Amino acid sequence: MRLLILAFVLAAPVFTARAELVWEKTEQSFKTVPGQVTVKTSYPFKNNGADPVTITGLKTSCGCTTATPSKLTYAPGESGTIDTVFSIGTRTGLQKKTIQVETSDHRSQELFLTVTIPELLRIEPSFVLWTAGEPATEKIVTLTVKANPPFKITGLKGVPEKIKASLEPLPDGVGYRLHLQPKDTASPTEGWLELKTDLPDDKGIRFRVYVGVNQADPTL
Amino acid sequence: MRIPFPTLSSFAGLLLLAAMVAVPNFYLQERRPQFLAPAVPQGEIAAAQARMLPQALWIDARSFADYNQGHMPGALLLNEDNWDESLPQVLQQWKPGVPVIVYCSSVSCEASHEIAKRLMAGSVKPVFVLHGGWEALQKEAP
Amino acid sequence: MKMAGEGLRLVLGLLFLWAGVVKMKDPYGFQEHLLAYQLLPFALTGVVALFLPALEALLGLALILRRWEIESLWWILVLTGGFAFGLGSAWIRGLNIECGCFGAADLSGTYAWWLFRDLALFAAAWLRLRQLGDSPVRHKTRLVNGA
Repeated sequence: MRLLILAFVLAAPVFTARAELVWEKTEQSFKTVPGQVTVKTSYPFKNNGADPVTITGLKTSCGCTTATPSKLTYAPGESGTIDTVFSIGTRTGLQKKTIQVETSDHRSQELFLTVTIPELLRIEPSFVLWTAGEPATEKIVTLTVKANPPFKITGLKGVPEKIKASLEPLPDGVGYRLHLQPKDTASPTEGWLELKTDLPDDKGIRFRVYVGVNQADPTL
Repeated sequence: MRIPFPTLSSFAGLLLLAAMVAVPNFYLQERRPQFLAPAVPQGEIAAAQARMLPQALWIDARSFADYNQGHMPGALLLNEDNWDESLPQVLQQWKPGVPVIVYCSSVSCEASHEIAKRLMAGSVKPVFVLHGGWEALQKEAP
Repeated sequence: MKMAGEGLRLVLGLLFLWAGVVKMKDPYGFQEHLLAYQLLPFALTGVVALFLPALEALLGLALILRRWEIESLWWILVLTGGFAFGLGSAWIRGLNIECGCFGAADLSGTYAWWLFRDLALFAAAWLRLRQLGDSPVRHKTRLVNGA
């Protein structure tokens, strides 16, 4: 019996040599809805080891994702979370972000966050620029409604001074060509041209195109 | 009108003499020219080369917090979050012929490529992504 | 006339010696200026930044000391001609360069002024060569028409 206890005591360091955080899930995916500004989620974990664990480092793959631990040190048996906030900004499409958690037991765990941001309207290019002296030729922005069900672009507002703008719907029903032309490129003008749609206002969804004529010397 | 021709040996000799002066000077000077543009992917530019572009417009594509902690002098912050607010200022600073250099934190980050893509779609060119990002700039600091 | 000729020789000599020495002290800076012209490939700008200033200084020295005067003047024609081409090319493309001809101090001016300055040097070298051609006895070089 004493031999068994001795064996167990000698073996004990092997079992508790490394403290361990056990994660409920290390990958999460989300799909955003129009008008959403952030994606907030948590990654819960538990300290299953025999020693306390401290979070020594938290790195995210981009500045758009912030990660905060519920607290820094976890006693054995204690649970916690890493709370993450992903800002959508003007991003669209598939966004894959990683959060790396480093702990005092010299281990690191990667957490994955995948956010799919449906593109409602493709605006190509997203801005149009003429420089002073450049010929005042027409430039076209191609608009393609990607949302399902599709919405309609009904008009323009906020057209900058001295810019002539016209909207040409395309036969496919989801495409449009926005024709833009300045009266001249001699003097600067600039502003955000807004596209009016038949989407409900309360969603806070806005589509804009930046249009500008630059002045000759930016240092003036 | 009579113009005297030079003797070829003396004409070439001057060049040789110049080389004999230039090579030691290369070792004497601290600020030396570079001959090897380090190999970087298409559309990207190495930090050493980027620094040598005069009148370049530097764009920081990182977060506001990172930008505040330190950025390339004169760089403008333009990322996917503040795109709408910052784009006008960036476009007003740019004019054709001015190269644009976009950087984010390191080799692995995507933000600089995304910003560069958006700028190029609007016919801003040439736009380069800084190979290695902010990290490379820190290593390169003269 | 001869005095004017000697004057030209000295002025050209001093100018090129000074321009060369100033640029020899900062080859990296000179390479930066060359890159702004967007004409030469990267490696070549390094080579030019290394050799050109030394050549300029040597030409200047040669002119002052009255050695290899014909050769030096011809080099000036080649260099100023090439530079006029480079300036013109940058001007047409609307590039924003600083001349960099006389080092870091030479950062203000316009294309017209730089081109004028450059062509004036070309003309000065040409005039001096003509003058030398008209008095072949003093110089032991081949003439275009002559024995």
